[in-house]
Amino acid sequence: MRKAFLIFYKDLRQYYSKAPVISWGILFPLAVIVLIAMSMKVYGESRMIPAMFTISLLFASTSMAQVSISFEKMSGSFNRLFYLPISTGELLLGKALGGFMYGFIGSGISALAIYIITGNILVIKPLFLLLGVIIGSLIFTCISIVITLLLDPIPGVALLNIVRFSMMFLGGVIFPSALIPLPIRNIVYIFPSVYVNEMIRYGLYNEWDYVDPYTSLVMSLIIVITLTIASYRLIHYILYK
Amino acid sequence: MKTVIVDNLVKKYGKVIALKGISFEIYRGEVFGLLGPNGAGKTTTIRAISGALKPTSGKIVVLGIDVIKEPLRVKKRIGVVPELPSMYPELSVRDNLYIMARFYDMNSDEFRERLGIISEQLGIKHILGIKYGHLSKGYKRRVDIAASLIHDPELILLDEPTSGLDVFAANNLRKLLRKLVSIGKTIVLSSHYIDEVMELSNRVLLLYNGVKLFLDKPINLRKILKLKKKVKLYLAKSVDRSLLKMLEKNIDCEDCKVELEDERVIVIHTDEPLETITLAKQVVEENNNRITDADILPPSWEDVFIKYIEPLEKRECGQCPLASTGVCG
Repeated sequence: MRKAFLIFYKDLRQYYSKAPVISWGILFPLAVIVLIAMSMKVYGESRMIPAMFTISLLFASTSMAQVSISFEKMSGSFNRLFYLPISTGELLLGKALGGFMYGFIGSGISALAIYIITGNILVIKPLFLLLGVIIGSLIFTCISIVITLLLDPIPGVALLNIVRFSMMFLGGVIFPSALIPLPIRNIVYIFPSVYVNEMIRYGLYNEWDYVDPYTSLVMSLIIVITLTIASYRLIHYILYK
Repeated sequence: MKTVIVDNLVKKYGKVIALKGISFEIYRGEVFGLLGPNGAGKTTTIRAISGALKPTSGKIVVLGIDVIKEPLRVKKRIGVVPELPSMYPELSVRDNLYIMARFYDMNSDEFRERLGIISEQLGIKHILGIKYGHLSKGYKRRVDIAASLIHDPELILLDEPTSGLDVFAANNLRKLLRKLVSIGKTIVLSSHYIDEVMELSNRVLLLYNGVKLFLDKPINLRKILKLKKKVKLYLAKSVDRSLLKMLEKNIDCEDCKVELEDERVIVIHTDEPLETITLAKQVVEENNNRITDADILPPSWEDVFIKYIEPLEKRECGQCPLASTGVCG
């Protein structure tokens, strides 16, 4: 555990101020939040405010892990980790902690923006909101880790952006189910964002749209466990291939 | 006492076989040189010994520990200098080394003590506060080496350690390696600099295409191959093609080679250097040129390498003294 925190500490000092982390992890979600705030009246507050949370979480969590792994792959310092006495679990946890923390920062920024826009933050079921934020940031971090480990940095960023924008627009975050044609609506369920968003929405407004909150919780847990195992196995394979 | 035992090590990457069942032992306090062209299997061997790679088959025991079963225990007791710069560019040299020390469970006092010793030995004391990313290639290399020595490992694996270092820094590193050996450390040195391996190593393992070609003292390799000496002629004027042809014609011996090293420098590979110089003097003067200086050089380690590897790469198996190893299939 101590070594995982060491990796986290090192990543934090090395990458927290890198341009891609700031632009994709903070500035872009902020811009989206402003846009969403401007269109609040179109879909209603109870849809758009959870969307702000989910989008912030999505971009903030995926940015940190992606940047820290990509930069290390490009500089060669990722190879150094292979020779250190670190277990696969410690390495995964170390890399995930950065994304997890950035996810929390993203949520905090969202909360602040929401407070500025609406003058209050209504949290009806805080446990669900917390679970949504925690599990959501873990899911998005793991997605970022898997993509960044599998691909070279440039195609990795390209694929990650496709995944991010797909989740944002097709992943049940912004558009309500009533507006999506039935055949396309089924695509929503492929994306973990729908389950995370429903948990956050339920926590904030006691409402849900595509999936009920308990099914969302179960699905999110299944996804997070699957992605954690996949990330673990991938790191293990890369470490010892 | 054996520090490393490698037994029938095989590593496959899909259809590519990087190591084809090599076996060797490394003894405590020796410098063990790894030589071979790109793709010979040097880095794979270093990674396998360090526990950073799982072999397809075979056994590796390092410091009495089975690397395949307990890689973390081995990693704690060894230091590895990877081929490429590998520290964190935004952190200072001191912070980089501190983080490395913490990975090896060193406390602040232990770190300070080791940092003092290592920074003095590697000449990095004055750059400890500078960000790694702002350093020159040579200094980055020194910091990479410092990071692998910070926990005082018993076995040190160096993959191309002097690559990018200036002559002064490379010499300092060689001195440091000798010092480490004198206090009982074991060193595995993989390098493209053949003279460096020749000079530093007690024994050399020559790898080609994942196969062990040669394992012995470097001096024995020279004896086996009976290499020619080199005569280096420095001329007053630029050399033209006709002079080279005339020299080739007049210096008539088996396998003698005439090469143009620079526009005014000719190198001749010969068994009889003095006779060659006398003969060459006549030929050069007939060509309206003049020899200003001449050197007689012993066969270089590079020649050894060329003698072994080139015929294998050209599939000229009959000309390779080690074709019997089966590598030239």
